[in-house]
Amino acid sequence: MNGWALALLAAAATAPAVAVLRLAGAPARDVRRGAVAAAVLGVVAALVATTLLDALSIEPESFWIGAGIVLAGIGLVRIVLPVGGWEPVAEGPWSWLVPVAYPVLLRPDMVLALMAAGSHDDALWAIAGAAVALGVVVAGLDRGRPSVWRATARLTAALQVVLAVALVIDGVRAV
Amino acid sequence: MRVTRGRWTLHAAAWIAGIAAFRIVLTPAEVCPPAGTDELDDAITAAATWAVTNQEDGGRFTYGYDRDGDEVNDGYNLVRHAGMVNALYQLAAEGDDRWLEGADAGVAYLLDLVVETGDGAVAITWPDVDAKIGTAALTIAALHHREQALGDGRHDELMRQLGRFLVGQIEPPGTILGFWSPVTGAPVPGAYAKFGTGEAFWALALLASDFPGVGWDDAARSIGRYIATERRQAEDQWLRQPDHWAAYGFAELGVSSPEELEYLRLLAGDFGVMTRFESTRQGSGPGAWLRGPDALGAGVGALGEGLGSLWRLAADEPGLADLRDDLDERLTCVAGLLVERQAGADDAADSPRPELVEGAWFRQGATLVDDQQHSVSALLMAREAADGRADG
Repeated sequence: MNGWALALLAAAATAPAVAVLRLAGAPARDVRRGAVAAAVLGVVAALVATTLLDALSIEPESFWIGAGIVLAGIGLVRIVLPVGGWEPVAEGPWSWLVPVAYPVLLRPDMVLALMAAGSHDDALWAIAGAAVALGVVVAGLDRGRPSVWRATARLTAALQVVLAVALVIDGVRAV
Repeated sequence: MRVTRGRWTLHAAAWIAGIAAFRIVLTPAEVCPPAGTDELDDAITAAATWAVTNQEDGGRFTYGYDRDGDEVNDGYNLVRHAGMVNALYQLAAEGDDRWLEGADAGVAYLLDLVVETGDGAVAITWPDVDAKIGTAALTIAALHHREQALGDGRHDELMRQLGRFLVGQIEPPGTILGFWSPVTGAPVPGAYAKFGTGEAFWALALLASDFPGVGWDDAARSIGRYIATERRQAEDQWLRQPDHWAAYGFAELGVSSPEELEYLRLLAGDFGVMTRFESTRQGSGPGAWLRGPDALGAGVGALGEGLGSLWRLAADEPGLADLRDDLDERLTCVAGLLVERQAGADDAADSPRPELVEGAWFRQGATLVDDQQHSVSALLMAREAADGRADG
């Protein structure tokens, strides 16, 4: 997979349409701060991927296979199942962190995609992809019709499945 | 709306469970035990010792042993016999002549089983049993390495006769019939050998190297092209066969088309992913339950042979050069696994027949001669790679 594909995978795995639907009604300031927090954590995940995998005795190519399988599985679930009800938004000074940054924005598939890219030596592309997706969340909050966002969520989930399969193939073909 | 403590805990628990499942099921630790050149040499010596110590007077090897039941396997397989002889001659070709006597005895056993198949060709088989192309092919390989070690030309004519037998088994697209019937005096139609095609390819490539300019290379290339482009479909293989014999053949003959190069890159990937998977097999617990017991010594050894062959080829083939370091790394991993899993003196001490235990690779209590055959060849290549690293 090249940098573009990894950027798209990270963007799809960030699932901006899902986040927009779940965060509807949340204070815009909380969403902005939460997006920054999720982005920072995502950057950390991408940058420490190689070191972390090495410490865990996982070859990057094997991680791509595992991550690709999970990403494809989550993508399939997102295609089949509709986005759940509104995510309850916490009140209080830390609501930008919980639940906005986590668990709504910082998703396991986003972390896996960024780590896969980080261990692929294409971390910057993936970080850019995730950042754009988080920007879409901030810009699209409480805008547009939910039906459009639902359709977009399924579309990005399908994209995620395709790119995740490509990631698995990359891992299988690598020596 | 307030997030309840229970919901937050549920999310955190799901993350932790997911990470644990991801680690256990999909990305377990891959452990490649370190093995220095001394360990590699010791493992090679122990395995070769297993072969020749347990060799019968007529040159036949002990076929196998079940240490749990203290039972010697009475079966025999001439392809594996020829393969073990080849492995011993490979050692001799690298300057280790301690095994020449045993290897020559192994050849003598095969010479008694030579049968003429017509047109100046011979095969090797027991009376009234179909001859396998693999026996002829690996005998050619053995004699090639004998010639490299001794250079006396003693079996040159036999090599050519065996080569003519292999060529006689080739069908127009490059398929090669796996068996020849002494009853009908002809190849068995429609019967192919899973490993025989790659073995024959390698053997003909070796003949092309030993006797250039007389057409062996054409025969080899037709099989090589078939392996790279048509075999999977023609032989109805759902997955590509991780054919280490084909890797040997291409390492000898070189790459002659983009299709062959693409095939070899995919083959390298197959060997790589299999090695990574094998390196996750260790210890007990849920991981062992999920991934099963260690692979056969022959299987791990064959992986090493495939990796080693492609590693050699990558030195001269620009289209594979970018894979050479990775191939080296995986080959080193295979060697470490083999060294770690080989039965040592401690294992043998508890056995009623220690000579049938020490130096062998056991899976679920049993070993066959080809466990030692493939492992010796793989360790020899790993030794070569280690020497290469040491030389910088």
